[in-house]
Amino acid sequence: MNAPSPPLPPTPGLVERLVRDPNAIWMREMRQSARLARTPWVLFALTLTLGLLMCSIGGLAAASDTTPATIGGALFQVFFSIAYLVVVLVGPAVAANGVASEREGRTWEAVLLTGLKPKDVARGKFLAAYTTIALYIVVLAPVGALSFLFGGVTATEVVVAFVFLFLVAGLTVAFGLAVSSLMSSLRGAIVVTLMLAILIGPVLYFIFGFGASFGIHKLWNEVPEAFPIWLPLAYSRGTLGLEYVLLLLAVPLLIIATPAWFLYEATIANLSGEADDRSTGLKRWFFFSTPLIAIACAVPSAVADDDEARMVLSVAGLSTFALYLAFCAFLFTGEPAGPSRRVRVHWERERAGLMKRFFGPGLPKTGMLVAALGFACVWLIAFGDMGLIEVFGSSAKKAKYIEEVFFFALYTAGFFLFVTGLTAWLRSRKQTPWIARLVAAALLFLVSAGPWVVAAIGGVLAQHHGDDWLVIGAPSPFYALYMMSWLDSSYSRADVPVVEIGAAMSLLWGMFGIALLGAAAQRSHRAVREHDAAVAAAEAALRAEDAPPEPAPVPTEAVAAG
Amino acid sequence: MTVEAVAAIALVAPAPKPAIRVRHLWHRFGKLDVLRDVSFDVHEGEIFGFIGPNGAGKTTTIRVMATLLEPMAGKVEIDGWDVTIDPQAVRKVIGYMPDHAGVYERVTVREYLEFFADAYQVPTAGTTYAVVDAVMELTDLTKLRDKLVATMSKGMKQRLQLARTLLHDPKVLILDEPASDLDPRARIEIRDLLVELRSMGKTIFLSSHILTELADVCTSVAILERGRLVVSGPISDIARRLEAAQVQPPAAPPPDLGPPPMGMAPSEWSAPEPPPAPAAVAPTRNVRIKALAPGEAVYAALVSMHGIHSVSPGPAGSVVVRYAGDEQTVAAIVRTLVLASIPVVGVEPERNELERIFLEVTKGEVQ
Repeated sequence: MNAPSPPLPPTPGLVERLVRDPNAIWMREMRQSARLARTPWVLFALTLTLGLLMCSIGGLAAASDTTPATIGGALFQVFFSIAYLVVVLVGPAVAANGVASEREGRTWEAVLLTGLKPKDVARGKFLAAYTTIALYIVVLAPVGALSFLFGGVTATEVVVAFVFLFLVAGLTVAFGLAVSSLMSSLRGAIVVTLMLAILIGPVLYFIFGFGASFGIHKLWNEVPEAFPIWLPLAYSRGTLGLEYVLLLLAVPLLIIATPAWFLYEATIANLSGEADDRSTGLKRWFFFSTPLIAIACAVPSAVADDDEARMVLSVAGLSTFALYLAFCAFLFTGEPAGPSRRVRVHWERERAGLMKRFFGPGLPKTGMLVAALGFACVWLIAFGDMGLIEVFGSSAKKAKYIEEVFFFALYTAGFFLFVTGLTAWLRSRKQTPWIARLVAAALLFLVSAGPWVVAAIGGVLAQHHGDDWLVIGAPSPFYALYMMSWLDSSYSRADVPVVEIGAAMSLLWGMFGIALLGAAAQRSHRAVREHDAAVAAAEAALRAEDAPPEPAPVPTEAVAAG
Repeated sequence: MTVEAVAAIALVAPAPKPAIRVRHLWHRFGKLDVLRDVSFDVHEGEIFGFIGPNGAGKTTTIRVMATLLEPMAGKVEIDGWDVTIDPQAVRKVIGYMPDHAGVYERVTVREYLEFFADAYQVPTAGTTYAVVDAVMELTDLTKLRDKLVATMSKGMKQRLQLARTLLHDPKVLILDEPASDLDPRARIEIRDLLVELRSMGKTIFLSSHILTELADVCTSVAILERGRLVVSGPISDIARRLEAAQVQPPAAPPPDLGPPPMGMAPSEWSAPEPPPAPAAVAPTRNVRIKALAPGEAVYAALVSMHGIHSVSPGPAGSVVVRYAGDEQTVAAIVRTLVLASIPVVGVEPERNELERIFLEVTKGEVQ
């Protein structure tokens, strides 16, 4: 009888693990940061500047007839707008140091050889940069808390705003780290990160701050209009309902979680070796995020209050989703032709199932996944929005709006298949990912702008019926907008089949894209076969070389003597 | 059983597995083949010197061995693990010190080593790092444990790096130019440390282009030139092979005739008579002799001796004797001088064995 096996020790929880066995990289970076003499001075200067600014605004407003509540509201907006900018600029800059400084300082190889997994390195670097930026926020907290003393905003709203500031800080740090993991020069990493942060940060501030505040004010009057920091206020001032759940819980969660997950997977992929599995994480992210993003793109249309707004928001959602899909097509241009020998050996050892292998590296299956899921989700948005217009629509132009959404989605889907096929095909020609991306971008620019140049020249030369020349723009994806405006206009000319040409072009793009995907798959399979044959031949040669020599025949008389 | 029978059995008995096994390694950067069919073995407990001029491909080979670079063709095994298939397993058995590696400046020696002990997941009792203490003791860093790395000298930092590579008790140490840019004292200290590590059973693979650095410590060497391995094996074996090659020059390969001239059948097209083989020549070497006598006296004593090619004045009052032969000839030279009442106070080869091998097998080409 077997003795009972001793009970397994309980798995320590997250907090216990953090306390007993904290991430080694995080701890080391904290020790280094603690010895950096300039940090307290930078924090002091920042707090002093912002404190003085807030006091000046408060003092000036108090001198006028403004009510304390208005002053409190204004201070809240000013403080959190500045804090947002600080976080958006400082967070990525701090994180950009992470991996690039190790690579430049030639300490990276030593870390890599310790056997630390890329995810442990990424987490350690993230925690280190996040601790620094969190320190900035904490130091600024007393200044930010000044606003609710005046009224106009509640203490809860200030706390919620700080929570969002911490979440945004997490995203910016993850972004800086992802860029840093891609680069080997520290200066390069900081410059690229800051340039992108300066470009993207204010754009997001205006879209999701100023821009969205008008729509939210329309929905809930209590939320002030044209105030960029509206989200923390909307939680206490919005009315509970479907819109509340969608706009204040689901969408913010998605907007934060999806890029955070992507940046995490991208960092891990960048930190992994070329022969490692760098695809599974990103493909898993694409698989789960794409339907959620598609739904999020359809949400604004769902909460619109008239048919035209619903159609416009539907097209805006489709356009946003198309941009997302184009980004993904370019992202997966980094895929190798097939899984490396290392990946395949490890799959064999762990008896990996079909699903694991499908999500693993390989250009053909990745291309197929991106094309199929992207195509399906475009139609998910389109049919969802068309259904909403059909069900809730009341205007006379309802059918026309449905047509517009349909043809816009048709062109989007067809052209997306072409983009996916083109990037995969270019990559399969053994070009490096960045060359393939550059060539694809150049070709797409030509396809998008070229036809309009020809159409414009033709229109000028023809003088009469200049508009007819616009059908030459059919190969360009912007033709979808022309189709919509043509459908929307009250006149229609039978002699210019604008929509039919657009639909035909969309189908052509789609079929061309599928053909390119097929060609890419064929090339990739061939490359994998050739590589396998070369490896097998080399292995056979090595085995033959290593085989022990045939034993020399033992002389008969020697055996007899023995 | 006869000797032949035992020999036959010994032939099929499994040979001890080498600690490092490099087979037909090729690597290319752009259009440049930096490694071309490099193969060698490093046996357990050896100090193996990897020699070659700058740009010969030493660092590329080492980076492949350290799992930092994917080989384009060929196979590299460390302690039986394939670097292409199982890099994580390889990383557990190697300690790698790169050339001109950086260190974290704003931590103390102890913190630096504790970080790597944590990263290697070296077992610790609570917050006590016994391994760190042991490694600091071994590398003579205990006195500096609370010193900031930024304030340490280059030699100390190099020693710290070596300490870092020892934390997880690796079987194989791969050191790329471990003594480059160090002052003489630091070099001697590193050399002594390597000898000590070898006595602890470690296999040490170190690259250098400074031959004197390797000559005293290495048991075997491999010489790389323009990405091709020129020679490898124990130093004494290589020296013997070279001497044998010089004494008995290999038969010249048949000349490449190319296609037969127009109008001539291939059967009629035959090689001309090969030139007569050159007479066997014993290798010539130089030995520097310091004697308490004028150079003329030394010359007079040795000039008629068999095998002496020349006697010329050397540095610091010594004479350089060029001779053909081996160590027996050197003994004969000394004996002759002593018999001629010339007191000999120093005898040393003008070049050490390794330098001689290097000069004989390489052509001085770089890529």
